[in-house]
Amino acid sequence: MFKAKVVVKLREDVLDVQGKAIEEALQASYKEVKDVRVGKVITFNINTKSDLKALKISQQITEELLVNPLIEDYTLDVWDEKKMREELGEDYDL
Amino acid sequence: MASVKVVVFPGTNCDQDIVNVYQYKLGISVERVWHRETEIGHCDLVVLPGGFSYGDYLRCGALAKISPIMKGIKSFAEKGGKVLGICNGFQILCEVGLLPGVLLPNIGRKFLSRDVFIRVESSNTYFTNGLKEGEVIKVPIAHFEGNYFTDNLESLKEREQIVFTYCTSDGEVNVDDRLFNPNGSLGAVAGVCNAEGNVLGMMPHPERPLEGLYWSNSALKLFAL
Repeated sequence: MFKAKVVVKLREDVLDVQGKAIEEALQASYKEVKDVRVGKVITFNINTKSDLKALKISQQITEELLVNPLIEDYTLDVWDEKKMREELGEDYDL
Repeated sequence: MASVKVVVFPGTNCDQDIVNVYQYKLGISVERVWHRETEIGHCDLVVLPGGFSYGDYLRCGALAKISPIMKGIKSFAEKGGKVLGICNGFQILCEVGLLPGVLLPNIGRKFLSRDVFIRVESSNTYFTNGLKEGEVIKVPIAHFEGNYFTDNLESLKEREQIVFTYCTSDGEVNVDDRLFNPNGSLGAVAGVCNAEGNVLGMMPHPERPLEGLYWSNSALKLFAL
C-alpha cells in the first residue's frame, strides 16, 4: 500500500479570489499580511505492491483529473509508509 | 427527422429549459441522456445544460470528465457532431479539452445573476450562422465561475474561435468595465468554439429569454437546427 499526496496551487499569474478575500479580511487586523494564496491538498492510498505502478497511477490521475495545468501547479509525493517505518525502526522518534 | 440529446449529470438543473426550447418552441424531438450511459447514439445535436454537475467539487466541470458518457460525447464531436455547452456545460467542455481555456471565479467574487449584452464575433459556426457579426443580444447570466481564461487569446481570435464577447448595449467591448464585462473575462470572452466550429460553449443562458415579454429572437436562432 502506497500513500500519495498532491498539493495543488493556483499559478502565480492567476487571480486567486479566495486568497484575495482572506487577505482583505486579515488586513483589517494584521496590516503586515500580504499575498495570501489558497491551494488544496488531496491525499489517497494506492493498493499495489509495485512502487513504479503506484507512481504511474498517481501521476496519471493527477495530470488527467486533479490538476488543470492551464491554471494550476502541483507537487506530488508517493511513499510506502510501512517500508518507511521499517527502515527508520520502531524506536525512531517521530 | 432532426433530434436533440440533452445530457444530464448529477447536479444539472437547466435540462428542462433546453427540453422546453426544442419540444415547445421549435417542435424538434428531444431526449435526455443520463451521464452513466456510454453512447450518445444517433442525433443532430448534443446539449450540455447548465447547473452544478458534481456540486462543482474539485473544479467546476472537472468531475464530469470521468462520467461514462464523456467518451461518447468526445467521439461524437470528433466525428463532426454538434455539441453546445451552456454555463456549466461550457465549463465541462473546457475541462474535457473539447474547448480551449478554463472558467475561473468571477473577478468581483460574487455570484452574478442578471442580464448582459453580448456581441456576435463570429457567424462562422454551425450555431451562429443565422446571426450577423456585430449583432448585440441581451441574455441573462447566472454563475460564480464565468471568468474566461486562456493562454492563447490571440491565436483564438485569429482562428475566429471567439464567438461571443460581453459588450455595451451598443456593441462596444470594454474589458475593464465591470458593468459590461461583469466577470472579468480575458478579452471579455463570453463564448468560444473549437477550431472546426462544431462545438460551442457559452456562459450566458440563451434558453432563458424565451418566455412571454422576456423574449429574444436572436437567442432562439442559436438553437435552430
